[in-house]
Amino acid sequence: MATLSFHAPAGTARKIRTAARKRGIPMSRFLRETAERAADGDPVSGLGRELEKFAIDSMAVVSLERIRTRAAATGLDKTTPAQITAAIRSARRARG
Amino acid sequence: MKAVVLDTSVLVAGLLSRQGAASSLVEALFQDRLRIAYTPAILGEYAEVLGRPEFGDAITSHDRIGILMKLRASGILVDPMVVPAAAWPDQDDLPFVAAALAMDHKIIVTLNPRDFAPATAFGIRVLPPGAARRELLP
Repeated sequence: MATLSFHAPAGTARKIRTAARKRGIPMSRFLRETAERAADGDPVSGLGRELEKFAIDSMAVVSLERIRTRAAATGLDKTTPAQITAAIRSARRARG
Repeated sequence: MKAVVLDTSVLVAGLLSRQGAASSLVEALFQDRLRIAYTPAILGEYAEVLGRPEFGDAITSHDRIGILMKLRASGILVDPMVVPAAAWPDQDDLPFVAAALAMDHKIIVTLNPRDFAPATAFGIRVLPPGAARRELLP
């Protein structure tokens, strides 16, 4: 197996590391797979990625709307900053 | 498009209400007009707080997943920086400071600016939602 190496500006390296972490794979595998796709002529940002984004965006918009509708119906839309802060503190205490 | 660190308080306020600056900021996140910077610790806290019984009448587990997936997919995962020692009012806020330190534009949006007061000494701008909306959503 050949070893390939290259130099990159710090900002680019950080971006690559972050993208690899987002996919949950080592940076070396991320780079190899990305390079292979590019070498094969496959678009890195393909239909699959667009569909995934569309699905996530749609789900999020629906969730936001449902949350706000339920909050308005139950009065939770009037939750005060102090009540929100208290809930956050409770969550942190529960975490230990 | 700027990325900001969003304190959990702003996320919750913006999800629950259609009114106010926090609401506008959350909508901007969902419309890809604004991005969050996050670390696993921050996303973990979002998940914990959105799952609290106090919000259970509005936020189901299904919707919580939908929200978290969007934040994760559209946000920027950053490597948290080491937080300098200071008189931090609440140690549990430090993951937000650590994320902000990792950003070029160091901005934390919070309902409780006083909790982050020492952060300004380290180049972090701490904005309440109203100021963030004016500055980030022209």
